[in-house]
Amino acid sequence: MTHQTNHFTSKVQQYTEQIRAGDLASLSSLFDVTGVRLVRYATGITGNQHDGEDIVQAVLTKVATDPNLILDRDCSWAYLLRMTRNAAVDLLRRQSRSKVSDKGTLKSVVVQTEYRLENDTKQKIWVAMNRLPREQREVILLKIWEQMTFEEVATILQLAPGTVASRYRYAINKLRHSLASISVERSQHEIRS
Amino acid sequence: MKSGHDEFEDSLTDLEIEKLVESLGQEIRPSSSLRPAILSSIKRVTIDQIAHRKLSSFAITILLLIPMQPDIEQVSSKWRDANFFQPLRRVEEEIYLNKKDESDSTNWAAHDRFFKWRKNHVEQFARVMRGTQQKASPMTP
Repeated sequence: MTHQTNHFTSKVQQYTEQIRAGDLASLSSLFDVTGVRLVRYATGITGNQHDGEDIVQAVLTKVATDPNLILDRDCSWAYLLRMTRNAAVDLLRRQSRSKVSDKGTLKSVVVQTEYRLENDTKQKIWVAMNRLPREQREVILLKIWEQMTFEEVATILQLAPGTVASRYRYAINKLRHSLASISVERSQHEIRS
Repeated sequence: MKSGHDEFEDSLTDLEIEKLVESLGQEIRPSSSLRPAILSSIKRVTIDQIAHRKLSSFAITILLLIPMQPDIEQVSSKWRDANFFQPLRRVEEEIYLNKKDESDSTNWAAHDRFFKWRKNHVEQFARVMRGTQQKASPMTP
C-alpha cells in the first residue's frame, strides 16, 4: 500500500468515524476529500459526468446512512472506490438492458461521450479512453488517475494482479493506436520547429 | 525509450500516453451543485431515519404493552374498586340505614354528599388522565 493511499485511507476512515458518531458535518469534509476523485472515477467508467455525479451522490448517501459499510473493511478508501465502481457498472448494465431492441438483439453499447473538453487533444484522449472496453478502462483509471499499484487495483476490482497488468498493457496499446494522430501532429510540430 | 512496438517508430511511448491520460483526469471536476445536492439528500435520508426510529420505538412500546394488558387491567380495576365502588357502597349503606332510622331530609343530605363526592371524583380522574400534578379535592362523601 503506497504512502499516498495510506494517508487518504486514514482521512476517509477518520471522517467516516465522525459521521458514525453522529457528526453529520464531517460529511462535508468527506466530500471535500473524496468528491473530486470519486466523480472523476465514476465519470471515467460511465463516460458521462452527470451519471458519475449521480453515482457519487448515491454512494456517499449510503455511506452517511450506514458508515459501517466502509469502516468494517481493511481499506475504507479502496472499498469506497469499489462501491463507486459497482454502482457505475450496475448503471451501465441497466442502460445496456434498456437498449435491447424489439427484436431481442442487443444493440452495441457505445458509452456516450457527453463530456466535452475544449482542448482538441484532450477531447481525442477522452474519445480514445471511451473506446476501450470497460474492463480495460477501469484499470487505466485506477492505475493512472489514482496512482495505484497493480496489487491495489486488483484488490478493488477483485482480480489477480497478473490479470490487471495484462489488461493495462492491452489498454495502453489500444490507446497508442487511437492516439496515433496526436503522435503524427507531434512529429510534424517537431519537423517544423 | 519506445514501448517495445518497433513497428510504430513515431508512436507515443507508455510514459507519454500515461501523461496524456493523467492530464485528462485533471480536467474532470464535480459540478458546483453536487455538494449541496449530496448534503440535502443525506439530510432528507437522516430525517426519514429518525422518523422511522421513532415509529419503531412506538411500535415496540405497543408490542410490550400487549402482554402487560391483563396486569394493567387488574391495577385499574383495583384502583376503580378502591376509589369508586367502596365509597359508593358506603353511601348506599348509609342511605339504607338512614332510610330505616332517620327522616327523609337526612336521606336527601346523604344523597347530596354522594353526588358532590362523585363530581369531585370525576374531576380528579380527568386530572389524572391529563397527567397534571394537581391534587384532587377530598373524596369522602
